[in-house]
Amino acid sequence: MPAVEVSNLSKSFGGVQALRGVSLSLGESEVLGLIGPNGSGKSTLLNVIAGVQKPTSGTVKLGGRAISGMRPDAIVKLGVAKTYQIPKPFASMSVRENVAVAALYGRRLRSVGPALEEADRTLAIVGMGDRSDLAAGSLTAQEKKRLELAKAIATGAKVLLLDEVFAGLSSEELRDSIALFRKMHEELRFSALVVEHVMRAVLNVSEGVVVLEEGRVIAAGSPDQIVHDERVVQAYLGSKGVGT
Amino acid sequence: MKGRTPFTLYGLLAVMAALAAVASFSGVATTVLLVNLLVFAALAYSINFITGMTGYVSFGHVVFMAIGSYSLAVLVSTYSTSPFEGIALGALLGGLFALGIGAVTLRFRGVYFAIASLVLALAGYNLVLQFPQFGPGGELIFYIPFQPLTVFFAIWGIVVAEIVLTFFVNRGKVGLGIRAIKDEEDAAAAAGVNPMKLKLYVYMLSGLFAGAAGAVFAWSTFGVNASSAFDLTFSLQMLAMILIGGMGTSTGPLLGASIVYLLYYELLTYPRLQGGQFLVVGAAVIVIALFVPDGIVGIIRRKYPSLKPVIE
Ligand SMILES: Nc1ncnc2c1ncn2[C@@H]1O[C@H](COP(=O)(O)OP(=O)(O)OP(=O)(O)O)[C@@H](O)[C@H]1O
Ligand SMILES: [Mg+2]
Repeated sequence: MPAVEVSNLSKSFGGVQALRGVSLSLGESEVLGLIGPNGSGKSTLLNVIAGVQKPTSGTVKLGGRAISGMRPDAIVKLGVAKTYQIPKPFASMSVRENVAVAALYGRRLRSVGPALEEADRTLAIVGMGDRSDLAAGSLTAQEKKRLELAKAIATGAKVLLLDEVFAGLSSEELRDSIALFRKMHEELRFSALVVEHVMRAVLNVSEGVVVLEEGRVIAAGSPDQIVHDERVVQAYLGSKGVGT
Repeated sequence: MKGRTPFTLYGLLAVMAALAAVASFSGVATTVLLVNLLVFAALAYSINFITGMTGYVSFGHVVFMAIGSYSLAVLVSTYSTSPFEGIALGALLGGLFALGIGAVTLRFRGVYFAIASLVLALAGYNLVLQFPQFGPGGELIFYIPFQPLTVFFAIWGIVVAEIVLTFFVNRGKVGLGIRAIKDEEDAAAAAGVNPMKLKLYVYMLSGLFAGAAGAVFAWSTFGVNASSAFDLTFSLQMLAMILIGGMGTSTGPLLGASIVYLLYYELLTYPRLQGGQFLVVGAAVIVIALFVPDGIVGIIRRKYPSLKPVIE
């Protein structure tokens, strides 16, 4: 059974149709890349799966159980966590406390102590152990992105919805982040839907790729098939090709 | 966070013990002053639960105080019960009304919640005038023995309960979730926090204690009348107290209440300064809001980090 099954999902904002009947399925421990031009509905898809936004129609199933329409906090507790494309840290709280909130509530822990310990473990995994005591609001943009990732992991989620966590990195940083992601996936065996513009990241971390355009899935397949797909090259990659 | 010695709590309880000693062994005038001061402190702790902790500004908070005042006044004047039953009913109704009102208004963000709470206070005022049970013109007066020390210990007990609760809520699971909500509510929900549940919980505490404090206020003034029970100046003073003292902290409300109360009712009551209190308190609020958003507790925290465990 797939971890997440999205069927015929639509979402409109007033006149804007952000999603028009999207279907896809994400297997256990599978990492699926989600690409598409700006405004094609990638973030909206993640938001609707996570319950942050309500679908206009269609369903989302988690392990066979319908979760569409549920509150975001309830969905997190069932094991689906998302990161924000534009990070939303709890700015006045320390990095450690930020992650502790996710551990405490996402894992339904009883008290703060164990949540802080879980936060320390998670921060060590993502390589932010030395940032624990800083106010989250004072982090750099890149650190805030990584904090998003730490929070999502700390919830104990089995399904991660990652919105451009690799954006804006230098070449070396990207290499390190990809290595880190692979190591985490090896250890934690989560499923992930990874929204990404950086093709090098998509091709390196995902087993499959889904391409969105104007709220529709226009192609799906292995990374290799996708980069050679005529429609994808035209619609999304344009004349630039798949260089980086 | 865990296992730290609760110096702040010990310190606050020591101050409360000292106030109890002063009230017990000094004259009636001092006891009455302390009753008034603690009524303010109780209201400050009450609004601190919602506005201080979550950042939702309860402009019409006076409505819960009025619910408590009328609970006690109706029970004592109409049914001749003891004032303590009035306090219990005031707390119960304050808490229940907060749950009912909050279930709707806590869904509004920012200024909409503030306006909704303001509208409720105005509606409450007009509603009270419609019912003869609340006396002609919303005024109820009762004649019971003057027992300043009994009144003192009633409000003292309420404030002690608020201090202890504030301290442990802040330290525990709810406190961490509430701070996340205050910073970034949507992200808190995306991390597994149920914002509505936590906001309702602290709003309920807030209503409960404002109800209890309002009941004691009616007791200490032997009655209630609509225009002072729903006086929005009270709401503003409560907000000023936690702003000046330090929003959300367990020390701030007592500090802020003492400052605002003493400035307002004791130091600045010379005829020449009538009305001047507004200016002084208003100026203090503006300066604090501009330069030290976390109040006096915030200043101490920054200037003397070593004192942190003593004042938080
Ligand atoms: N809250 C909203 N209200 C109104 N319109 C919205 C909202 N969120 C998204 N949209 C619109 O829906 C469409 C899809 O937006 P979305 O953010 O999902 O795209 P995206 O693929 O994530 O783009 P990007 O690559 O720029 O992040 C866009 O046209 C966008 O303007
Ligand atoms: Mg996006």
